[in-house]
Amino acid sequence: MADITHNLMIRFGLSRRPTQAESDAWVQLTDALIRQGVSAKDAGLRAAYQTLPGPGTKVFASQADTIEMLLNKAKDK
Amino acid sequence: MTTAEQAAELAKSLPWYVVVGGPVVLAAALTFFAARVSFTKKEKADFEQTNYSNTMKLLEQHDAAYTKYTNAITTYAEAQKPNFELFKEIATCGDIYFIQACLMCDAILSGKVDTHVRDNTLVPKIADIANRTLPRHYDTLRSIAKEKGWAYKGELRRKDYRSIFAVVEKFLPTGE
Repeated sequence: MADITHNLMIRFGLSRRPTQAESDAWVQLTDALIRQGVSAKDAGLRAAYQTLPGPGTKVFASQADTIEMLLNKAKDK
Repeated sequence: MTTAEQAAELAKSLPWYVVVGGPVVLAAALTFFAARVSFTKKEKADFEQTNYSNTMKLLEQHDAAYTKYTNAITTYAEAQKPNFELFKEIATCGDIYFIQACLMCDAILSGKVDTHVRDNTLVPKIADIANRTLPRHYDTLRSIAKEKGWAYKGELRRKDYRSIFAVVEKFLPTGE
């Protein structure tokens, strides 16, 4: 399956980057919940709490935040 | 006359091939249309599954391009003496990141992505890229090049990123 471990870590504020197995389990559970009629957002969140390590533990900047921070750093060189 | 007698009268008046073939054709037609109805349901489930897989694949590619781009900027920012080669690497990796975003937008516009993930995850990302990252990328590179005296003519042209702006205009309410 596709490697979305980094994306999951950021999206759910995980305590560490999930393993490929944990990530695959998340995809399958999310998929199953959606088929049961749960909204994608809720499905992803519920699946995260069941399959992924420490959701909500950390707060990550968005990709845009990180890119801006790095570009500023480069500009100051 | 009973129904059976009525039927017999009718059968006698019609040619034999209508009497025999008629019911056969009718049964075949009903079977065919019944199959069409159940086939469409399965098709729908497959279609949704394909869209979900497409979406996950796009996110994976998006994250890979993001990692390369941020690595390039970090390498430049942390270098002892940043040089033009490292600067070019930022420009190139940025291009790849934005091209990947355009491909994601093309998929969104073609209806090939899961609609829930599109609205909750992809569109916000694209909006960030259009409104923040793209301008910031070009501004920063131009500023660095000017300061260091490097030749760099990059600039943000909307026509280069048509798909990105099309998604923003289509999926975000005005003012966001």
